[in-house]
Amino acid sequence: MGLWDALLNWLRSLFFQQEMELSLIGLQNAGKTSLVNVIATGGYSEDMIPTVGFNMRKVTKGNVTIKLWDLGGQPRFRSMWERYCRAVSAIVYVVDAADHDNVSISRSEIHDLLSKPSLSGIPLLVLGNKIDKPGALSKQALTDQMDLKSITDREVCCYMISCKNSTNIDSVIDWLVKHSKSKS
Amino acid sequence: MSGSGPKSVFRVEYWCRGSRLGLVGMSGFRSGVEVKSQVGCWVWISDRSSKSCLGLSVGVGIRSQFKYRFSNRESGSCPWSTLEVVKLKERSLVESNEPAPVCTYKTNFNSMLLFLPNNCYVLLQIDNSVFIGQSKRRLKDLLLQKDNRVCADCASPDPKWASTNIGVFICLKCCGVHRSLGTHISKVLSVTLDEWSDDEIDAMVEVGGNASANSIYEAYIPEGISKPGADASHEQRSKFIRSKYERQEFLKPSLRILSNQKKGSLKTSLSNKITDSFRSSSSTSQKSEGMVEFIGMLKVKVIKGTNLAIRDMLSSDPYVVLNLGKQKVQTSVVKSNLNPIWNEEVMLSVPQDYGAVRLQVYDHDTFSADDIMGEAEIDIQPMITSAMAFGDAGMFGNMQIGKWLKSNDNALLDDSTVNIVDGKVKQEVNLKLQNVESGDLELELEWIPLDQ
Repeated sequence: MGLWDALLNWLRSLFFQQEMELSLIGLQNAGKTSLVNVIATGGYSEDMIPTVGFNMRKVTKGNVTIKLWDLGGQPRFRSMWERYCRAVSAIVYVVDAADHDNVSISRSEIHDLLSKPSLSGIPLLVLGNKIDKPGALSKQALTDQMDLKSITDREVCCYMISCKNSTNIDSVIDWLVKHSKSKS
Repeated sequence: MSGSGPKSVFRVEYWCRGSRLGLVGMSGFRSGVEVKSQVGCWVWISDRSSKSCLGLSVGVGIRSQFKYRFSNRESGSCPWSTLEVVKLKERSLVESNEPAPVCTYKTNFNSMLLFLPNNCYVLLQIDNSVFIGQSKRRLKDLLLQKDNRVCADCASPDPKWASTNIGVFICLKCCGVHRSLGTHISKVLSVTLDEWSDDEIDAMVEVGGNASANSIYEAYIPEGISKPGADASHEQRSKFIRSKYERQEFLKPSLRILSNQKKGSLKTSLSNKITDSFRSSSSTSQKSEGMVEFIGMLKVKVIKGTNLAIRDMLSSDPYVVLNLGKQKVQTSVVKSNLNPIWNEEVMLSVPQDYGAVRLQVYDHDTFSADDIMGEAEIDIQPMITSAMAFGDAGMFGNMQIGKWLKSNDNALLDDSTVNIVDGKVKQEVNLKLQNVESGDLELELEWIPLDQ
């Protein structure tokens, strides 16, 4: 049996040993760079500087190497999101769930982006971040306010997370790894 | 003189008193005596009016030399002499002791004009039609032609690149500009590194070199516009080269009108030939090679190495090799130095589906295989993707546009930022060499997109 398991593992490792590319987008200060740090190193810092352009970083999780394009969220960089999203396996859209004022901007930005023909069919993972903060939206409220139900041309998934407390980060990683598999 | 197969032919024509008498004879073939790589031929010229005959042996060296000797039926042969084509223009051909009747000559690489007494002169010319099948050799010969010893665009010495459809030899810096014009304007190949097809070489030979190409492309340079010099900036080069080839502003007025109508009739016949050659070569030896579409050029400036590994007794003779797909470029060797400063720029063409650039440092050994001194991979996707996202970098001021983060699965020493600097997309890369005891390497990448 041991030999059989080893063989299976070896086969699985061959199959899973692959790269995927992800783009992380969302408004500034949503927590994209923090999410990368949590996924890559488990570390969290309150002091973050705004991302200029993008940060590209590779993260290896199990047998999957994920190339993360952490894109700047400031308005001047948003027009370039589409360009970076073209070749990715999935788009991860991070929303600050505790920042009620900006959810509507967040909604219009993602719907704008997804209307681009070059991105049709690319799965979308929406992450409501900062649920450690009081007053953060619930998953249902976020789904409604982001009008995620209206997106029907692709797979859409939503998780509520906290980078600060590492809440639900495992689920995010699982989702990502699962989608790297289905990609090949 | 030992005989061997035909390698070069001189067509000998003979004039007397200004009127052409016609072709007197074709040459026989002999190989050179002293130097193996030299080919020689022996020609025999007779003057019909008098009975004196002049025998002339000429050797053509690929190292820019003619070798010649004169013979006369009565007085026998003169000793072999060499003419250095690069240096000499006109000189008394026969110094003193021989009674040979030749006084002066004029020469460039593929032809030679001999002035004989009584207003006679002889023109010796390499007959290119015999060279088919010796392509690379023909290319070298062409490159050694005097006008091709300097870049057609900036006149810097020893050009190693060529635009195969325009038919000029150019330097590395101008080559960068040519690539940025796109292959529909200029298709560049390295004389030393690239594989050339016969058609590409034919096209170069047909144009005849820098002087004849420039006589067309630079027929009318208006006042106030000067050619860039060897030390001109990229902008100066770019401006001139675009005017010269892309907009063809310096053509003869008559050609200029034609080029508007027919979109460059000057070029079309040649570039058709190039495309044909691609089609034929793709089905034979090169397979998909010729069909690769390049999206831009990657300029890699290898700045310096620090604390490199020791591979000889006390030091190493390091050089850097860069690979992108099947392309390979390398820097020069720095002798006995573990902290070498290269400051050397190399170019790689980037195809649509590019991968990472693989970098290796080697220790140069004269008598054995070179030893490896570490390696690293450079992911060029961050720079290229961001450059494309920003589009025309010239529209932006100096700014950071992205960053490739150091992590434990790459060779970065620190985060590598991609910046727009003076309208160019550049990236600083500091690498810790992998699979080696020690050694860091500092590079600067620059992305040169091909404008579509």
